Amino acid sequence: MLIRSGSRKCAMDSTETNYKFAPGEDASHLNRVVQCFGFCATSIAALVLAGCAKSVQVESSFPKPLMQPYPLVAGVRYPASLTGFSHTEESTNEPEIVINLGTANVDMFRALFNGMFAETVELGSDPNAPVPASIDLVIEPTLADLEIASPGKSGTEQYTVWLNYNLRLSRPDGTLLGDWKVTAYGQRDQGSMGMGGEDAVNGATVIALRDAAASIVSEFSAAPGIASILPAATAPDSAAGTLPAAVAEPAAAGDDTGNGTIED
Amino acid sequence: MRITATKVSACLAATIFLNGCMTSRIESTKDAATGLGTNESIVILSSSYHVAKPAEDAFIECVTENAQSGSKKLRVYPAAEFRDALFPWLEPRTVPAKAANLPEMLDRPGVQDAIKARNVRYIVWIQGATEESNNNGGLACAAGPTGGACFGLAWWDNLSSYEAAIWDLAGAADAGKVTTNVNGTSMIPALIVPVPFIARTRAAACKGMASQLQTFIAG
Repeated sequence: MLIRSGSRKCAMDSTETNYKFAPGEDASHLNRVVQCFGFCATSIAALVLAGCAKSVQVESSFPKPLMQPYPLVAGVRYPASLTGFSHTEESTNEPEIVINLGTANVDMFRALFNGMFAETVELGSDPNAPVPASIDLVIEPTLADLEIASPGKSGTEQYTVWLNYNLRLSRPDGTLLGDWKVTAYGQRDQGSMGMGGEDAVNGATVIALRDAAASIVSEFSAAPGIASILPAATAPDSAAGTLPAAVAEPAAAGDDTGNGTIED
Repeated sequence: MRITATKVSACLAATIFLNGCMTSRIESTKDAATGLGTNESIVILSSSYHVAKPAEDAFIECVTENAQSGSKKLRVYPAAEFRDALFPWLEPRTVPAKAANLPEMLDRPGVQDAIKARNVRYIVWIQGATEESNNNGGLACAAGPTGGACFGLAWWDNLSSYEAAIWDLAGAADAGKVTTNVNGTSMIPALIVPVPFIARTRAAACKGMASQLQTFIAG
């Protein structure tokens, strides 16, 4: 059934403002004025930009994933580089952006792992500390890189954030199962008239954090070495309700983008 | 002299105001019977960027607000709460790309219960954007010790084009779609004082889509 309706109306209002200025054709005097004005404006803008650095403390609450937990006891180690992660984005013509992500990192992983596994134990940050024998899997997430694109750089109306995590997966005796690289992405519209940049950066980062969690949930069964520790009766796609996941490729030498697998 | 010029500017602006137009076109295609129970609600979300160009946050908020008003108002469940309740199955990476994949999502542990607990019957996915084109004319402004002035005329077109796909969670199927396209021309005439006349195509598209969604879902 196709329903169509249309209307044509004459309605314009003046609640938004957008000015475009064409260059003058013959105005050398005016040009000098404009040049002077431009120099002054640039100087003032530089001073203003220097004083307008955006500092974003990423904050959000993260839900537990809706899934049947894997029958595993996971030990999670949060290194200081993750809990205190901070990124400074510098630009010559835009205000500096400082993103403090440490607390949000831990909040996201806590909610995620508490929902993913039958039991989660937080380990100390010391990698040499003994791990309780009851633990099946040790996870040590690190945030290798954060990239941000502002509307001024990307030419879009969004702030965009990429997060590149590495999840080191190992057995409780320290045997490495593999390094699992997880890339996440988030975007958020900038505020109207370019205002609200901090909110947009926070929003884009939170979406990227949720994307990381979604990626970990949906691809966990194919993470490096995980198949070797999952109970034989656990068919990941039915038990955990996850999407069919891409098979992790063994990392080649110097490969910094793929997944690395070391199995014993 | 200045008063005269201002008067001329005002007259010109008024003339252009009267001639400025927006054209809107709204279509809906229904693939299944629809209807909403007294306690049932819908949720309005932007499409995944893996599937289509998601509508702007402001557009989603506008449609959500307008769908909940008027004589045919709908009960709209908060989008963020719904995404959290079904996390992570409505994230851009994991959300079903098409209605045919809905059963796979609904079969996941806990998903059906979470939806039933909230009485959400339909998910409305909105994609699209408002774009500017055909920039013409220009303004020249000058300032001096005694004041400033602008002269010229600039105009451009705005096109707001959005599509809402409606998924029926009870039937695990596509219920249909609503599309809206609004064209408009904005202009700034300036005779000493620039007077902007902006065609608010996005606001018109929002109201048109919200109204059509109300009609579509009511059945």
